[in-house]
Amino acid sequence: MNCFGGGKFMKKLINKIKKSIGNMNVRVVVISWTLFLLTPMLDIFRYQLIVDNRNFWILNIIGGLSGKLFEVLLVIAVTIAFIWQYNSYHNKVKANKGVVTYISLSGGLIFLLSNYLIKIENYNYPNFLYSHFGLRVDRLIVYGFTGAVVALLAILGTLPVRSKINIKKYKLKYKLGGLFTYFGLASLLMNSGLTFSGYSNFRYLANLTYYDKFGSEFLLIKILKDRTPSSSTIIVPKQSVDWQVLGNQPVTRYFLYPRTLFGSGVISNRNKPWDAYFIYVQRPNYDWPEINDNKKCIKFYNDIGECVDYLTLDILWHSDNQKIYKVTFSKP
Amino acid sequence: MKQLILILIGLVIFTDIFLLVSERSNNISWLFWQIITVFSGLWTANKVFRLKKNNETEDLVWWKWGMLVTLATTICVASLSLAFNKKSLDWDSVALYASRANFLKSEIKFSQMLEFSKYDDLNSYYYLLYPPYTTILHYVWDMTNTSLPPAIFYSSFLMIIMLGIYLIEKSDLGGYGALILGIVTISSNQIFGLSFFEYTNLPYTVYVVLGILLIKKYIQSGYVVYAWAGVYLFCSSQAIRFSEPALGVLLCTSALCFWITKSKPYLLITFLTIFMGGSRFLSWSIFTDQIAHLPNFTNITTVSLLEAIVGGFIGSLANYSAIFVKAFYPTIVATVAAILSPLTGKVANNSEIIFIKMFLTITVVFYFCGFYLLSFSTFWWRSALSESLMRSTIYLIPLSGYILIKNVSR
Repeated sequence: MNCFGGGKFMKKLINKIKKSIGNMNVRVVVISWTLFLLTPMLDIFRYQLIVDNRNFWILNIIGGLSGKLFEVLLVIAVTIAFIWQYNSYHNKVKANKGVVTYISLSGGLIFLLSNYLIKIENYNYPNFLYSHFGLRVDRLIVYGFTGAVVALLAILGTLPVRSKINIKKYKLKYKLGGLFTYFGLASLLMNSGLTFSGYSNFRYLANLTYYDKFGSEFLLIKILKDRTPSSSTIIVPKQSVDWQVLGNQPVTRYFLYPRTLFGSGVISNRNKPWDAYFIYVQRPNYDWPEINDNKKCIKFYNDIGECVDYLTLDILWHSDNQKIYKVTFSKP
Repeated sequence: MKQLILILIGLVIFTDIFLLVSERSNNISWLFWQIITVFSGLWTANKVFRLKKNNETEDLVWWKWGMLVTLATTICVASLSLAFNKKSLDWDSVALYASRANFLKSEIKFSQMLEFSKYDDLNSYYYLLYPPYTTILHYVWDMTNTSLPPAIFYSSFLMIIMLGIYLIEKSDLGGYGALILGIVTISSNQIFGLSFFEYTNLPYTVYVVLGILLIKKYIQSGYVVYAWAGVYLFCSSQAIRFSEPALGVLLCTSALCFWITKSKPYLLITFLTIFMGGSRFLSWSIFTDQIAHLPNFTNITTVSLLEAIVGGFIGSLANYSAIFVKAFYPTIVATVAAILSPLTGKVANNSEIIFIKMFLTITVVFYFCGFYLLSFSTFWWRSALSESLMRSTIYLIPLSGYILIKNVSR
């Protein structure tokens, strides 16, 4: 307090802020919000200036400032929306039907529009919107998200008028608690807003194939499934950072069932199947498994693993860097 | 509401009977507890079936109501459309639920599934990590020979939770309040993001949330049938995700509330939780221990307990707390806001609000302490914390939302 010249100054400042919040006019809300709605026009305008190579100095300045203006107007729009909510929260302003409809509809509309434009970008190529209209995707995401949140806030602000929700009852004496409640509600709304703004990501996740999820190891599983008998035993690598899918027996078993899986972590000269299949893979740093033709043994699990003796080893199928072997360890 | 609760109870009874019949075990103690869980389900269903319809009506402005209903429907349809277009199953489903359904089709019993891990040094416990609820639903789905992806039935739980919240809460929060709570729940990034994944988290959340809301309704109204239905649904969540500490949380909450207030409703909730939760806990524990011989996969020893206590003084707790909050964000924000928000004059004496606040607090404490202990006994605690904590605790969103909306209600 002292660094501001004593408590009086702070009190005056707080009173002044309170007064200005109390006097917040509906027109200020509408004008600020409308200016925010128009911000993408600045990007389009700037783009036209660059494309047409025009040299009006005033237009250049406005165009050059479009990014900063967007940020400033974004902060103003969100602050106004929150202050407006704060006022209706403390019964200082009455919800104006026209303003609420305007804000909620336009907020919802810009959310949909932004998402539609982002969709166009995704369907074409990165930077499509910028190279055609001067619109930037990162700003569109923030733009649409802000629209959705402010629209939701506007709708929430009108509900106390005629429903069981009655913010008026939440009196000023619960000021701090009111802030907690308001903060909690806002965080929930923001959380919901993330769903709307990130819908394209959800669609991306839903469209992933097994190959997208499990990577190249899924191809190895597929080869094993296509090339080995369903009653066979398959030796798989030990689950590790290098073998996250093929080494993960519950995952691999889903695709290879009813084949029996034998893990490299448990195979030894004392514990091995009579015969089995495995896929030999050449990787840039090492091959799996290590086959020693001279000693007639195979090491399935890195340096400390035992070299397991075999009787016969036949190639069943091969490509450039993969082979399926059938190995016989002992006579039945 | 009655029909919805009956469907949820019916699904649990069906899976319980399925397990009973498919196992054909002669282990008397398991049979006893499994039959007790089935009968408690049938008893609850009977009580719910006799529930009288509430004819209360509320004047709502049609366009506002319509707008909110349209929004809720859009969210549910969006989730269904994502599920409908799914190209593949998700990791947990591939590794566990759909896999076990495949084994069931080959007439392999649940208790025999651990045999598959005989030649696996890392996943010996995996096939009995969770009870069979979703696996049986996968099995039934596959038996219908439909070409539709099973993600659709997971997605339908989004509609169930929306409908459930609306139907249970409309008499308490009002039509708009209940709709907003439902919309905030289904549109939350975590819940919607899980709705088209074949994970157990959403079905689990449905049972926990609707269970707690029904228990709250019992505290409000005094109708015992809500207590039965609420506790049964809540305890049934253990038939989906057994390793979650939900039963302990409810037991502590109701016992503490009774200890503080000496109010009879809390005593009934405590007894019902001990009875229904206990029978479910015992039936699955006996099944995994005596019939399937599931090996222990966590190793909390005296040394790890001592380490945890010492760790509290040498900085491990502070480091862990930062990781915990990061993994729990943003659910923790709404939860803490709901816990700290004060009660208005009228609501201040409402014991149901105190009950839910207590439930939220104890949940956070349980998960905090549980993962703290786990951090000294397993190497995978960090990945479990970052991946599953958020998914396991999404039920805190609607419950926190209830408190926050109630705070601004009449």
